[in-house]
Amino acid sequence: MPHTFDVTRLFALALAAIVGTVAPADAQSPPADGRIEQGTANVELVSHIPLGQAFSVGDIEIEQEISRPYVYVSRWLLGGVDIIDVSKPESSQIIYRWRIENAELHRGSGGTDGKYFKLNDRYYYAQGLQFQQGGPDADLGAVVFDVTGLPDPEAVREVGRIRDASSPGGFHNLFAYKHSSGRVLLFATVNGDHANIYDMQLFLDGAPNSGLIAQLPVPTNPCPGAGMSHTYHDFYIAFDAETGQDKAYAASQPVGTYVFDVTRPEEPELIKSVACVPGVTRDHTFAVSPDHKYGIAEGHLRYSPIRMFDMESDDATGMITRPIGAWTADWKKHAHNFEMRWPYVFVANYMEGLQVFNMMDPENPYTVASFDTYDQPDNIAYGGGASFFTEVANGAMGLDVRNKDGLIIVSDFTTGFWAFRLDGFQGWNGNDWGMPNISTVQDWDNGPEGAKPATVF
Amino acid sequence: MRYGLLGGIYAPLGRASVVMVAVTLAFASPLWQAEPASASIPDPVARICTTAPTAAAATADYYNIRMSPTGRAPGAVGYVTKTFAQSPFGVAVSVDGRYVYDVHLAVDGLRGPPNVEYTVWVAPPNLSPIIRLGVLNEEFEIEGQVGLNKFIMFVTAEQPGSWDPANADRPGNAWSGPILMQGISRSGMMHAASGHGPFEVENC
Repeated sequence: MPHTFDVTRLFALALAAIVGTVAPADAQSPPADGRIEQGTANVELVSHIPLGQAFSVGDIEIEQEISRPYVYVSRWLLGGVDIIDVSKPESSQIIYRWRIENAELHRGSGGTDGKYFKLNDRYYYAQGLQFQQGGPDADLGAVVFDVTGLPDPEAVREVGRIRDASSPGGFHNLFAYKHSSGRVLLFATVNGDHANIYDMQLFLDGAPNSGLIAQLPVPTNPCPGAGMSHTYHDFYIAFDAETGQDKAYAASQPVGTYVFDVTRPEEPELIKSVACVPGVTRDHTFAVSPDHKYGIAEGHLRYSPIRMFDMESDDATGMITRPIGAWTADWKKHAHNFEMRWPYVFVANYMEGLQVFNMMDPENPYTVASFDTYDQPDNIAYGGGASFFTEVANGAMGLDVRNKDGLIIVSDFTTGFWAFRLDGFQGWNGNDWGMPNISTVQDWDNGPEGAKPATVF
Repeated sequence: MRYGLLGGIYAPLGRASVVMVAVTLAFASPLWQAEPASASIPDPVARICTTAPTAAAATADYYNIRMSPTGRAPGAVGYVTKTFAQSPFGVAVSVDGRYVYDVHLAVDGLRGPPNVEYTVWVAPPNLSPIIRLGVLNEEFEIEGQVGLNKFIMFVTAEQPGSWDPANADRPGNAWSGPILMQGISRSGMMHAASGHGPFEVENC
């Protein structure tokens, strides 16, 4: 076959050469064959809604009942929340927006994280907020809405605000937990040496201090020279069916993750620590397998992988110091939030988008799926990337999984809301994997699996 | 609760000590008083944190306020020069013990509809009370006095004649138009240490 002079191709090659010459070393570049695969073949893109300006998107939460197909997207910087109807995931749409009043005068991160809960047959959503001092509402941690009436936006009603003047700066992360006693508790990270625990029934009843029943202290870091842990960043709280304990796994910053028995939440008791881990100078997110045997930790630090821990490898002092495995999507960056649905871990992996890995063998985790939700250059990061822990902070920042049908939702700092399905993952129940049916998803009606019903006198 | 000039240490010192401190302040005032600052508009993209307050003029600039546009007024820039109001003691203080500042706001780039009053407001961080400083003149400038320690200054677009002084006392906003610009006093960036978490972009 004779060769022909393909002008178009020649121009494309020349353009590619020029771009390749001037592009910064860390910029994204198309693959050599010109074909861009946004995700692995086993990931189906269901929906995508761009949500406006970069870094205006925070964490994400999905209600678990199919009959209540609502997703809550925290609005970073804007100080609010968007509620998205995913009753038809392929045509998801925003049905409600809330913003803090006089948002332009507020300072700080705004809407960072939110959690829903069910109490007395009504559904509520708590929007965590962080506003800096110098502007309004520095003492405001969360705004709680009654969302029972969705999808009617007129039926959404604010029922109260949780304020904490003693620790200005608001709540960064929330965890709504159905305790084995039957109580609904809201754990909140604050800018202080503790986390707050609220009994939401007391809050709704108008109790003093918004129903604050206890504080989870940040212990002294047991590792000499590690620096003082001075605040919590995130939690995972779950019932341990084997020990009969409610356990809180709290990742502190700068470093140290602490495991508390919160069976009696008013008297949290430190059980063990994940600390003094070589190479770990920062802790961010933590979760454990449904049987509490394996932990996974993310440090929000460039070049740091997600580490796996044997939670029964603690020494005589109660310290776990050595990971048994590690996983990363790209060693040059790092992950952000994740959701464990054993043996899968769904990761909001910042610039690498959605990632899913399998950790059935915790010493040898492997990637099973991915979808790149972030398409800006890699040198655009939160706050200009000026801080050592935000150098590569952009892209997929939050995600959630609906256990009933396996719908995966992702919030991306820059590109907004995404929904996916993963081939072969039509839902999750721990029992199907020989595990307790325990995850971040709460059984609001019955409490955690394996917990004895609350004694009624 | 009201505080005197010297706050909590006023009472234990007694009247004689306070007089001595006041005299000392009077003599020291040339060192404290901010020099007149230019009302020219600085580079709007200049980061506050890059300011190097080494000379007296730079120190004065440090305490001035850069007004940032909200999403409703892209491209608008503003600059507030802030000096102590005239006082025989150098540092002007109101009867309830708050510093009193002369402020001068110069704005550029507001391109709203012609029939609005660009109204300037100041308020402490909790937005109570809200004080109406006035309306930008034809040169998009305004002068006034502020008797607050930490404060926010902001500009709204109001319908002419819509201002009712009675609104100042009603709950909610005293203004009705959109917020176009806002700025914060340098003192507003002083935080309680308990509020300095690792999650936010800090002010230097």
